[in-house]
Amino acid sequence: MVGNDLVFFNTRTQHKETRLTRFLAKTFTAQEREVLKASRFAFMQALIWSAKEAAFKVFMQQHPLQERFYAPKKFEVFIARVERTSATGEVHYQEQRYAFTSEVHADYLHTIACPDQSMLTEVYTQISPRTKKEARSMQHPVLGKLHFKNNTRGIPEAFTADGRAKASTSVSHDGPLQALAFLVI
Amino acid sequence: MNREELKAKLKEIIEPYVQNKEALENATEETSLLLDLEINSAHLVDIILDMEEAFDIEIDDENAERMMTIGQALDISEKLLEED
Amino acid sequence: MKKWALILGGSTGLGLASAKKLGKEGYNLIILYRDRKAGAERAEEEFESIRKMGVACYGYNKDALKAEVVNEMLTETARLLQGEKLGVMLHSIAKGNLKLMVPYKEVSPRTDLSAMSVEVLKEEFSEEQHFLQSADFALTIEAMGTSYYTWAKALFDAGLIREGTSLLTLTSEGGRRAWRNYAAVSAAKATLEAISRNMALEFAPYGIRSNVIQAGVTDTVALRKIKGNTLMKEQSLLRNPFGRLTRPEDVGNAVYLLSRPEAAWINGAIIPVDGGESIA
Repeated sequence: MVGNDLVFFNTRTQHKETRLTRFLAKTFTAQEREVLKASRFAFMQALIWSAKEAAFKVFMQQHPLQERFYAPKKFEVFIARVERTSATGEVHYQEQRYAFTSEVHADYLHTIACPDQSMLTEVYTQISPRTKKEARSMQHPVLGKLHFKNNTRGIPEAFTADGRAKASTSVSHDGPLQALAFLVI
Repeated sequence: MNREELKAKLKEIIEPYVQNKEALENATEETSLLLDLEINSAHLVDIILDMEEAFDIEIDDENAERMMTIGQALDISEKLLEED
Repeated sequence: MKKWALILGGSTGLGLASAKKLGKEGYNLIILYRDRKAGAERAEEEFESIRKMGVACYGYNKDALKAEVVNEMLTETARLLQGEKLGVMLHSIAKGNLKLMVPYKEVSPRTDLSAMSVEVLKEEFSEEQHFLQSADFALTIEAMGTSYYTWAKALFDAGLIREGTSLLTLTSEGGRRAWRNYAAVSAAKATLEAISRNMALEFAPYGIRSNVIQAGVTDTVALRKIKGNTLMKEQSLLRNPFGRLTRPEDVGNAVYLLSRPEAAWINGAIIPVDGGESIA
């Protein structure tokens, strides 16, 4: 299972200090706010947020009967490593644990999460200009051309020429970009 | 404010974050914020904060968790406004 | 010749993971645990899955700290083992008091990384009303320290541990460092480590060895009872050379490793099983 989240820098309006404080109080735990405060990286807030989102997307795939909910603070992010262009760590939700890795670029950052660290290296990703939903596709090195469609629960599924691919898929878009993450299971 | 007025005000609040403007115009109580209106989940908190300011209420984590549809958002707003 | 292991505290976390690994490697298991109904049901499900690996697994929801239970279990173990010895005894008991010594007071925040604790600590500890008393230390040291000796001695006297037995217990970096609300447990770990050393010395002529596994910070039910554990997890993760937290399976693997005859010359040691966290 894989989940991903793309954050395109500059799409967020600059908010007043009080607004930001209220925002963080609702979305980040005390430990995360401390990491944020101590960090010298401007993308840290986006990073922590994207790790929560990516882990949440894995969770929803792991629990197909779970009704969608919104509890960002319950998905707690723990940073292991962060540097100018990348970061890794874990996300915990109740007894569930996820490993994540992020790539930081000039205009955006992209995070992928899996239930285990070892699966992260098997994930195939593609970042491209945003297209209409129907036209979402990816060229996979082994499976060939893949098309993505959302199922009734809003979770993307991948299809090859022969039918549904045995894989976990995640899609995220922000600003002019979209990101696809694909893991054969 | 009655429910219709609340609904109109709510639609005003969420409008800037909605990708699918058509769906907003035709929105019913069952309309999902994330799926039907295609609001980026990063903006859900923004909407909550805007609602808190507009209605002068405080939406705690437990209530925020359940705000997935227009109807649920209205239910929570009504409940919190009554508590004033 | 059948292999047997006794695990004190095996329904969750590190104890359970060790049970699973030992079971997978052919050990029949006798597991003591202490849980309320829901936990006991979950434990039984876990034990059932261990039985599917082809070994016997006997679970007992009893208080390992009571003398009657020790006696009961000696009889029961002798009955099950039929003259065989216990290859492994793993002591994995987590019971004690997690309280501060004095009311939490903030020091002026610094801007270095350690200042990261300010807000978390305030949130976790500023409401604390109850503080450690002498009795708390006594209880915790008995439960998490002395009990290791109590059981080993009882098993020795009953002839259930003999040449080749590996006695194991668990500690954490908190045995040598100070963590808030962990004082009583830390004292217990210091006691535990000393007891293990003396057992290693005195039991050696009988072919029995004792070692302590120092597990890295592991996200378990027991860890989450410690206030400020999110901070511990974050700080551990930042130090960890492999960039991940220790998992219960990592410790289970080490328990199995130390049960093997090739590990016979490791005695009286405190062995970090943490991916290198403690040295970084």
